Amino acid sequence: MSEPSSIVFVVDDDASIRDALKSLIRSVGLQVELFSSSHEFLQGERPDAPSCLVLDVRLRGKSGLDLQRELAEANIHIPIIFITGHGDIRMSVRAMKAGAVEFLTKPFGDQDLLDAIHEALDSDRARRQREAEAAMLRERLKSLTPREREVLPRVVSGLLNKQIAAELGTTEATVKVHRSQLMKKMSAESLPELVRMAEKLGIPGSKR
Amino acid sequence: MPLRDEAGNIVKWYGSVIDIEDRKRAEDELRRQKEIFQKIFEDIPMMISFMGQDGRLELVNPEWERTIGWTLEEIREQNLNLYTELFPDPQYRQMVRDVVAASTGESIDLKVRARDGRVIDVAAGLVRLSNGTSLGIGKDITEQRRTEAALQEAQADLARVTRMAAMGELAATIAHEVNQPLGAVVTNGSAAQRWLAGQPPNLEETREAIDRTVREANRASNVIARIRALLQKVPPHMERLDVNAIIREVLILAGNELLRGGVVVQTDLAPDAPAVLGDRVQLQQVILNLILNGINAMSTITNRPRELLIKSAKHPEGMLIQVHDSGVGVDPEQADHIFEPFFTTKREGIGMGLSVSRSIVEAHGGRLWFTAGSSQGAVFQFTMPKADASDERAV
Repeated sequence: MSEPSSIVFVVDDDASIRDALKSLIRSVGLQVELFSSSHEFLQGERPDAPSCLVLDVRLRGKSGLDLQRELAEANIHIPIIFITGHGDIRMSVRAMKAGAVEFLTKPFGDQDLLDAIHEALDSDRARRQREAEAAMLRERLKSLTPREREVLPRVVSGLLNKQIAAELGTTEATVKVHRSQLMKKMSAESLPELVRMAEKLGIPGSKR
Repeated sequence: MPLRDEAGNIVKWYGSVIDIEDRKRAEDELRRQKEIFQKIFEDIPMMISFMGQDGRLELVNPEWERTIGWTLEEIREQNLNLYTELFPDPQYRQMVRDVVAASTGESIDLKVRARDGRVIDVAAGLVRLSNGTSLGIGKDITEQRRTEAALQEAQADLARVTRMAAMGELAATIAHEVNQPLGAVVTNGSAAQRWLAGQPPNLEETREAIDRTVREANRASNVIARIRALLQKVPPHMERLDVNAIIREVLILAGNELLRGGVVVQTDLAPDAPAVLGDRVQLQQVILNLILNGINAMSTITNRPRELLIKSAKHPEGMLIQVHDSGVGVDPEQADHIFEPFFTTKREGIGMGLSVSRSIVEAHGGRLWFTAGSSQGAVFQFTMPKADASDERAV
């Protein structure tokens, strides 16, 4: 695959922690980018690649939890691994509820962090793939004619060509043509595949 | 009725009536005053005593006898020297004699030994009467004193609790300050292991990670050292000290930091410096704090040498110790705050160094202040009072 290489963002206001994390993460061959504040991270450019965020809870200015909320509000779905100097349970519950991958208390084991990073990158990679696929499907859906778009939900809900023809007030032969056209345009090799695509696109009738 | 008689008789009669009325009124008044005195003397719970011109006790009231335990009769019969009984300490006794002799009316707190051996606190006042004798009035305030002492202790307890609460906050700060470098130590250590385990091992990265580990471990231990110094309640051990010798000791202690900071040190120490009176460890701490601050102030300097000059000089108060640096100097806006606790410009500092240093110096009777350097940097300096000849222990 020609996927761009993964990248780990680190936001911590302590330079020595940043440097240490950079070295550790680089040692397993991952790319690292450092930021000293939430603000800096939000300003900075994020390359279009699988990524995750290692975030200190306690930051000067905007806290890590604030940043988590803002990213969610901005619809930026980067997986977050929190690190903190104090194991505050309430804080960690809040972070985990808001979707954090992991909440590590300093000093943490290197393997724990690297495992969390790998898990986060995997999940981001999967999310990216899902999103890319959905985007692709949406493109294909756009290429259908209005008539084909009427036929699609009926096909995926399991109606026979005859039934569809009756519903739409047309002939079975015409429905057959629409059906093969939309299968081709959606690049679906089989009916089950088309059903799965329709599910991903949220087309009604696809869920029985 | 008498008015109707002859004029001479009437006048006489009339005058005689007035005479009797007057005398009666005077007698009444006298009786009343006597009664007032009697009441005060016998019933008011104050110790009252009369002393002759020679200071000997002539009359005491029942409250006096009850409180002290001796009656006047017993004293007379046993021919007791009352002063020796009540004031066993000769020096204190003489002081009391002087007070009685002066009888100025000022109030004075006395410690009096009662017959049963208890020491009683008495608030007393003595006044001289016109015939040269003295009147003393006193009150037993032993109980009151005890209450006051208890109250004071309670207040001290409260202060201690308050301090503990502040300590709690401080502890949280410490936890954070120590945890940060510890976290960095662990992570750097792990990174070093991983770089080393690579095929082939990356020695350059390993070395850098180890360097950082050492630096962070030192940072953690410095935080702890500072806290420990801060919390130490050990009473200072005052002795005669040679400031120059202490400066040399501290320079050895600070050797690593100086080297790491790329700082060149010069010293200009006064020959035949007089000994100062102080606590060795605390004085070391002050000088070390100032040196570390100086190193820190020069850490970002790249366009000129990082120079630290330590000077000692004789001073009217004793000795003057100066630490000159060629660093960034003190921001005038922050000048008012740099001696406040928890004020810091360093990201790894907790802002106690200068605050603690100043308290130490002031506790020694010296002063600590700073001035701007002649061309750049800052001069932190403090005085230490010189030791008297009576301060024992040679340096």
